[in-house]
Amino acid sequence: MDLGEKLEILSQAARYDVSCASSGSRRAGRPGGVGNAADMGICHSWTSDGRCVSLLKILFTNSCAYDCAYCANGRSQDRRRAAFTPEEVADLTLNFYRRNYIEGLFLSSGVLRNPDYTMELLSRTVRILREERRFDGYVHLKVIPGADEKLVAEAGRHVDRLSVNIELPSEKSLSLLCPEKRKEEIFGPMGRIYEGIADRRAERSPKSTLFVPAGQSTQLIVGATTETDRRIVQLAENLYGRYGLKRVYYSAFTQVTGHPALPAVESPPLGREHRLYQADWLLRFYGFSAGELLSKERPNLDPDLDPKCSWALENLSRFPVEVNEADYETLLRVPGVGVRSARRIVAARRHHSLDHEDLKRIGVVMKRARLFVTCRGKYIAPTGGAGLREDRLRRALLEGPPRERSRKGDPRQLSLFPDTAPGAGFRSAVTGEI
Amino acid sequence: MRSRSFYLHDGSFEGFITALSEASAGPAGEKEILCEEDFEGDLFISPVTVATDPAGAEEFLRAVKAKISPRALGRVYYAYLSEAREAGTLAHRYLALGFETGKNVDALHHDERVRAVRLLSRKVTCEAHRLKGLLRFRRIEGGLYYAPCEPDHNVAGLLAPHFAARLADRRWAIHDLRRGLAVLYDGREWSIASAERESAAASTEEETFYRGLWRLYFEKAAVPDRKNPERQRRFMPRRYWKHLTEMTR
Repeated sequence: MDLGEKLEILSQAARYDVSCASSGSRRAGRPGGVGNAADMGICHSWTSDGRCVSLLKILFTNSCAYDCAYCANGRSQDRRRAAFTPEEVADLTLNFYRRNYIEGLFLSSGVLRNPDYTMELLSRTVRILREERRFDGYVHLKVIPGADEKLVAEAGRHVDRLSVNIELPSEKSLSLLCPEKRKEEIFGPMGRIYEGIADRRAERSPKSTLFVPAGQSTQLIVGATTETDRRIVQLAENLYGRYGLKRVYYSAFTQVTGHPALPAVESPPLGREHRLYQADWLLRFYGFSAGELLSKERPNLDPDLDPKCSWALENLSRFPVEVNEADYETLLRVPGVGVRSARRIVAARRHHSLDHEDLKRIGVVMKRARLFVTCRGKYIAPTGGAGLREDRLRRALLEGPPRERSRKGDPRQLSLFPDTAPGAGFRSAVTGEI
Repeated sequence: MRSRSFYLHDGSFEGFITALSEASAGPAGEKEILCEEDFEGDLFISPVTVATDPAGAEEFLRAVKAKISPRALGRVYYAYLSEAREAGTLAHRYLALGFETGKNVDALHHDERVRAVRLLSRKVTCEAHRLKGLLRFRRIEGGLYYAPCEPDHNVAGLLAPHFAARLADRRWAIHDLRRGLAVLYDGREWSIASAERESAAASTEEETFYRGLWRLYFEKAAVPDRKNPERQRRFMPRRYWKHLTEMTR
C-alpha cells in the first residue's frame, strides 16, 4: 500500500477526534533543528466542515482490537485497514511542516495487538521526530487507555500535549458502548499525567526537561447516550478542577456504525454541542459554576438562548448592573460583556464616566447588554414599563432575524448571534466571548 | 471657516513619522496627514509637502515612547503598515491625545480617537497572524522554499522573524506580489528586497508529491455530516485561496 493510500485511510479515520489546538507551548527550536511552537497556536486552514486545521491529525493504524459501538474503526467494522511506519509519520510531519501546512502532529491510534504494543510504537515515532529529525514543532499524542504508566511517562517527555479521551460521560454509558475499556484505564493515566506536570512545575526544572508543557485535554461525545447537559458540564467542571485539564472538547455524535445500542440521529446535534462550548467558556473564563448554569429542575441548556442570557433571566434580582461601579466579576456576568469588554470598562471608567455610546465603542454587544445595565443610573431598553421582567427580556433577546436552522430544527453552528456589528458573530465564534 | 492643513509624505515610514512630527508642531486646527499619492489636488488647498527627515523622525519616535508609551509607538507603526488612506490622520489625532494624557491614553477605550487607531492596528496584526497560518511554501528547483502572497496590508516584515525562527535551516522567500517586495532568508538572517515578478520556477517532483498528499489529507479530514462552507469562508476568506495549495489545482 503506498503512502497516499495510507494517508487517505488514516486521516479519514482520525477525523472524529475534534481536538485542534496547537497552543499552550512555548517550545523554542534547538539550534540545527526545525520548528518551534507558537504559544497562542496557529490555524493553518479550514476544511469544508468549517473546522480548523492546525495539526496533521492521523491514526498510526486504524486496526483495532476493540469494538466500541460508535467507532468507525471498531474491530467488527468492514473497512480497509492500514498502518504507517514511524519513519513515514516523521517524513510526512516534517515535509508538511516545512511547507507551513501545519504546526505539528496529532497522533492517535487504534489498539494494535494490545495497549502497550501500540503505545510503544507511538512513543518511538515521537522519539524519531524529536531526536533523529530534531523537530521542535507541536506534538499532541493520544494515550491508549490501559497502556503501562512508564510508557506514558516516557512519551510525556517528548510531547507538548497528551490526551486520553473519556468519550462517554458516565461509567454506565462506557460499559454499554465500550465494554472492553475500563474507567480506571482512562482516569488512571489522567491522574498520573496531572501529577507529572505538577511535579515538574514544583521542581522548576530547566527547560530541557519539559513535560507535557501544553497540558492535557479530553473529549466527550455528545448525544450518543442519554446523559443530560448537566451531567456533562458537571463532569467537565470536575475534570478542570481535579485533573487540571486545559480543555474539554465536545464532539456532536455522528452516526457511522449503525450499532443498535446507539440512538437513531439523522444529523449531529451541532446546536447542543455549541451550547456546551458556551457553558464550558463560562466555567473557565467567567467564574460560573456548573451548579449555577444547570440544576435538577433544568438539566439541559436552553437551545434558544446562550447560557449566560439564560442564567441572567433566572437571576434578575442581580440586575441591572451599574457599569461605572460594579466590580469586574459582576461585569463578566452581564450578557453581551465579554472578558475583553469587562477589562476595558474597568480601565476606561477610571478616567471617564461611561455612557451607553461609550460601551458600544468599547465593544460591548449592546443588543443584549442594554437590557441588563445602567450607565450613570440610566437604563435604556425597549422593554417598556418599569422593572425587569423575564417575559419581556426574553422576547427582546429572542427577536431579530431568525437563525439558520437545519431541517431538523437544530440550530446550526454559524449564526448564533444575528447581531449588530459586522464581525461580532465572528469574534464571538473565535473568542467564545458572550 | 475652520482651517484645515494637509501634510503630505513620501510613503516611507520615516516620511510618515516626519509628517506626524511636523503636524504635531504645527499651528492648531484640523489636520490631515496623507501619502502624496493619495492626495487629490484642490485649487483651494495648499498642502505642506514634508521632506523626509530620518533624524527628526527618530527623535519624534523617542518622544512618543517617552511621553506616551512604547505601545503607542507600536500602534502608530502598525497603523502605518495598514496603508489605509486615513492612517496618518488617525495616528495624528491619537498622538495629540496621547501627548495630552500620557501613558494612560490606551485605557481610554471609549474614546473614538483611541478606538480608531486600535482597530487599524488590529487589522494589521490580525492579518499577520492569519498569514502565519495561510502562507504556503513550495520547494522550487535550487532548493529554495518559496511562498507568494497578496496581503491587504504591509505585513511581510512582521512575518519574517517568525519564519526565520522556525524554518531556520533552509533558505526561503516570502514574496509580497502586490507590493513587489520579498523577504529573503539565506539560512542565517533575513532581509527585504524588491522583487517584481512571481517566480515561475518549476516545482520538483518531490514537491508535487507532497502537495498532492496535502490536498488528499485536506479532503479526507473533513466530516461530511458537518458540512459548513460558510463557516470555512468566514475564517478563511476567498481572497486568500489563490495561494493555498489545498484550494488550487
